[in-house]
Amino acid sequence: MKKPLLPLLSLLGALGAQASENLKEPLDFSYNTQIYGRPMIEAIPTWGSGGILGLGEIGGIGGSGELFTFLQSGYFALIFLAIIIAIPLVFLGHYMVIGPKRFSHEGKKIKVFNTFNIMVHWIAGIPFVLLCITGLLMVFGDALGGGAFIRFARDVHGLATIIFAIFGPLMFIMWVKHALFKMYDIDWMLILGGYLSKVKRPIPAGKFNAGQKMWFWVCTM
Amino acid sequence: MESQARVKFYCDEARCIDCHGCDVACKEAHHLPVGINRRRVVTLNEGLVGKEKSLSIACMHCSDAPCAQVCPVDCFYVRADGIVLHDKEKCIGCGYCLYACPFGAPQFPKSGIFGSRGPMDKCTFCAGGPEETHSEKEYKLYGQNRIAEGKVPVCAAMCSTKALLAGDSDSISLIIRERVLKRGSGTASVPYTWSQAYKD
Repeated sequence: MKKPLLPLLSLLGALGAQASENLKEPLDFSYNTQIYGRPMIEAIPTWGSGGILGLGEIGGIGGSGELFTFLQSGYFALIFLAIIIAIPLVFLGHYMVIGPKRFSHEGKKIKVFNTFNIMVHWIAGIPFVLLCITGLLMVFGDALGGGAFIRFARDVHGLATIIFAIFGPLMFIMWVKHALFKMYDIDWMLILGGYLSKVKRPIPAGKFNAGQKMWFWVCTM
Repeated sequence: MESQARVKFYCDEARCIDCHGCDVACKEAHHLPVGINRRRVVTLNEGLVGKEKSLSIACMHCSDAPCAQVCPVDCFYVRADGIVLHDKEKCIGCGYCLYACPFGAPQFPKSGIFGSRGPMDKCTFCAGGPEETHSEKEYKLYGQNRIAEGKVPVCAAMCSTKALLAGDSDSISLIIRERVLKRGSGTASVPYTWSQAYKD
């Protein structure tokens, strides 16, 4: 929008040079009207490390630094704290109210998944657990004092990310077809997989039941 | 309300001649490794004859510093005079402060065998760090502590045109006002660096 105007502006500028000299303006704002605004900061070229992603971004990706500051300063840690307290409480509540359900482990064992499935699941699962643990260590790093231990957690987090980034999507592709919604999932949802009673009955399921499917989508997304 | 002494940096864009004296002085004074720039000079309107302006930028030592707000290990602390410092032994080099910083001040030296980000490094206003003042450890981790010697930061001391000012806010405001009056220009609006950093 402004570009085609530039030659015209500079011509006018040359004509009006005499006048602007008299004004003793220390800074010509005609080329960057927001010189004291955000563009000045955006004009900062890459320096030092080249940014988090090596792209030299300043103030967060796409200028989201302010939003990030707001969320990180008060909300992320609180959300994680709520999760790590609430989930065990829900489990405990379920155990107290419904109680354990025992199944016989006698009889012939059936191999449902092939070796490839099992391997991918393990290689995605181990880094997943590592990511959770080291991530929580970093989120609550202030309570843990920071320093070498949390730095180690950060390094483990980074390495686990690489492995999970390969085998996580692989696992997703492997099982996504079986994890799509089917009509019998409604039946499962109606009895919540039988989790809310001690009655033993067949669980409506294909390769996976609706509970496993929900877990699949939570873990891979 | 704003009467208490509070340090500030100010760069006069009418005086800065893009000589890079400040960032070279900073690197030399603190023995900073290659790739670590606590201070640097930014040029605006580059290539437009007569329109080029340069500014020297470093950590502005913000009030309510965003870096200190986002740090997951709380390694930052703010001195009574407003200088924002951090504990490199606590820092885990996560880079959150760089996300939050409007000035791109935090620097991350590579460390370890995988070349991952080491503990963050930034301008200390030449005030050292949490270690014992003038100790070898402080010098090694944070560089000189000129504030403890009663000197201004080396960048401002070095500035040949006195474009870069460092000191308590009242004195700096006085100098800026005087300069603007003498120049006769009416552009003494609060620079973005100030409104962003000090909420002025």
